[in-house]
Amino acid sequence: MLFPTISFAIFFMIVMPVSWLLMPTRHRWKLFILAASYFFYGYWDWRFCVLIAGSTIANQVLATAVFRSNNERTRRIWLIVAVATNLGVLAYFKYYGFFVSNAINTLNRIGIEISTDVISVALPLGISFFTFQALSYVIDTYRGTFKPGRLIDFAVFLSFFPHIIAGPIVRPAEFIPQIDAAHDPRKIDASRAFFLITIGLFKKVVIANILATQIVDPVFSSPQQHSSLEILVGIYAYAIQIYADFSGYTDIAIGIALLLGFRFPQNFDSPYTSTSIQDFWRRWHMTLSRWLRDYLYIPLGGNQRGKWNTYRNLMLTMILGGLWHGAAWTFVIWGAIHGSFLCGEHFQRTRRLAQGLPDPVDTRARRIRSQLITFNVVCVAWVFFRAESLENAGNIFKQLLDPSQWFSASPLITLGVVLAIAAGLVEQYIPKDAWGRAMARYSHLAPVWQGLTLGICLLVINTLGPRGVAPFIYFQF
Amino acid sequence: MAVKTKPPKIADDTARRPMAAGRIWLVLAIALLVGGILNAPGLRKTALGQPLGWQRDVAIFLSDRLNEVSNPLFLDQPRAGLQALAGRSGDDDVDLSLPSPTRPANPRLPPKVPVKKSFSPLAPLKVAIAGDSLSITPGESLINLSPATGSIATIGSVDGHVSTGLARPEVFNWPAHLSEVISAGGLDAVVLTLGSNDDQNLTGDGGVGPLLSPEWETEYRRRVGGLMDSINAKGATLFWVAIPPMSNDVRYDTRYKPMNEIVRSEAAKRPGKVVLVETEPVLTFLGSGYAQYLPTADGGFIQIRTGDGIHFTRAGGDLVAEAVLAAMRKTFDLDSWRTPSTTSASKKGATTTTGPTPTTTEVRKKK
Repeated sequence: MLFPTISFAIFFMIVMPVSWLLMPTRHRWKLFILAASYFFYGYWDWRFCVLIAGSTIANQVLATAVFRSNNERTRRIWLIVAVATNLGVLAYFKYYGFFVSNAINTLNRIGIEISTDVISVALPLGISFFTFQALSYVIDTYRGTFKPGRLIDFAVFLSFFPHIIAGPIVRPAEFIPQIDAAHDPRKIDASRAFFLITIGLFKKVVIANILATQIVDPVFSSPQQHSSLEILVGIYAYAIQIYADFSGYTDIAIGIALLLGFRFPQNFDSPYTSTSIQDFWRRWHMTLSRWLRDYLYIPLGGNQRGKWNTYRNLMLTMILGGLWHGAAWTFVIWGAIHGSFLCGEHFQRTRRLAQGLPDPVDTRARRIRSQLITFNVVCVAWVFFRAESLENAGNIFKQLLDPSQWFSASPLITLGVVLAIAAGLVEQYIPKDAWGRAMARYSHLAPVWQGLTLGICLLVINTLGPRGVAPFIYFQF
Repeated sequence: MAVKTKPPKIADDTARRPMAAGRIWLVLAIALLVGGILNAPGLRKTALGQPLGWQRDVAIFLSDRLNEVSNPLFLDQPRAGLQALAGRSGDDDVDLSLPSPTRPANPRLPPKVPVKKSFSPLAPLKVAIAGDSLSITPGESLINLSPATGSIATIGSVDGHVSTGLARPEVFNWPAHLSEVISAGGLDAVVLTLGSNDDQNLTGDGGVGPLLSPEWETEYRRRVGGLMDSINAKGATLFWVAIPPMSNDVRYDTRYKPMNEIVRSEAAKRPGKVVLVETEPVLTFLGSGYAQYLPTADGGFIQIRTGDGIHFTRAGGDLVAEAVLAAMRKTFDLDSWRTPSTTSASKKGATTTTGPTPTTTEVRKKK
């Protein structure tokens, strides 16, 4: 079930009141929300429910085994089993095609002919997200920072429908205590939820879809057919598209969870206002960044084992973060670009500290220059992320820099495209207190006016968005 | 002295007034009702496009009620105004009419084969690429491969509309859409991929079922022939890309093969004007049937179909695009401009073609 659909609206209008009515009898509520979440997830394919149920039971058993064991060696073995099982399942579904094609190529080269009529494996939606959450559960138990709860609590945590498909990646310690905490049905932060849902819908349905269909898809599929200006605008448009698409989804997810009485961590914080790549990763897909930091970068040694190990750890973390998106060289390069710039920034910082130099003065001009440089580095990396192959990425850059294409006609750059890019950027530069004031004012309106305002927003979104809604980009990860 | 109490501060986000669950439900219900009334024409079109069944019936019933409120009160006008501003007037129109084949002037005479036209860089073959989701990747490949011919100019991007076909004109009316596209672009040819969403009961004018019953076949043939003639009537040659083998062999054998046969026989009635581009010969490994991978020239394998067993990877798209280019070379003279002194021999009557040109891809079937 997709959020921006009538089916989801009907589903939510039933689930929300029943959820609040059952909240006082917590056990019934858990069973109900679990059933609703499985219905939501199984709406695509009921077999997905079997997978998540299996993951829930296996991880609960493993986390309990880690928790109950007094022997460090046994605990470690259970942890390794858990990590290997989760990553094995993830690898099977995500990298099956990559492994199979390489395996049959190798076998064929050594003279062993095998049938290529292989069974195709469909990637279950959201598998990366719930696998990372399950890993957090077991690893946090191993570290002693979290005590495994009841199976039903863990099942609700893993499958809770607002975040099951594309995050945000919530930690067990953030969510599971909320299940049994008191929720006051008279004090819901509704205005914030309505803002998040409406803005998220606008970003996804209008901005992301307009940019995808009108410029990004044509430019990236046939770069040689487009002018340098169209390529340049297409690259910027993709940066806005992926931001609008992904942050739009998580805005809706956070808003939906709020209406059910749950708080999710923030996932995006105006990432294109970043003044460095390090700053960017504090603002972009924040729940994945901190997951990689806490479960990969720090266990590798972080920045505590010398200069060169720090660089190695940064590169490894970013390249593995790239590979998380899929088994392709384009993702490796995307991760490597970010890793290299993180290393460069770290080098500059440590050198300045070693020389006893003060931090540079934070002037407006300096900040704007840093923002422009960071945004353009991120955009260059996005080319590899979006390109279907290295050759495709090469063609994009070749066409961008080809002087004969600089002044060619650019029919794809329409007013709609320019406005959509501008809207995606401007939204990030609106001061937070302005949003806060707007939400506060809205919250003081009578329910009828609030409903009317939202209805008019639905008119704008539905009219300006294309018919049908394309799946969210991050569903494939 | 009475102390004046200040009104609640609403300058920051801590001043938000919380709301009770019941009121939230009320706000949402009002929003959905208002949104539904204001968007009623669009919702009706969305409802009509749902898969056939009770859910569609309910959706149509509800959207009709919303339209009954929206239209008399002019509450559908803001939507129409916004659409006009966005240059998308007519988005909510539903056209159920589908053209029938035109009758030949003298049915006893064999159909006349048009003279093989020549194209060059100065007067290129203007081609539009359109169709369902299967048209998108091969269409992009065709756009990329065409410049090398020097005599083909693809117009615009791929005009792909997912989940569409000839079965459900209320979802998307291809004959009406293509008529507009050809008229606007002055096209010489259209590359069209349709059919993979048509294995269902037919709706719209002449709608029938069940699938593949004699009545269904007659009506589907009428729609296919009508579309072909409507494109030819605008002066464009049609290259119809056949439905490729699918990983679901049963579906392909029992549904898509008979549908391909209908298109094949209709194309045969219009020699030189409609060309069926066969896909199975270029996408199969062992002579027939579905293949996910094909051998490459260097002894490896390359994936030509995506994991869903339906759509194409870039390599698969390239193969289909090459088959289309080969069909175009048979139908038109695209190369004589390179050697002006030599005139190429004209072959008349080629209605189907198979196989890629032997130069532009590394993917080759093993001998």
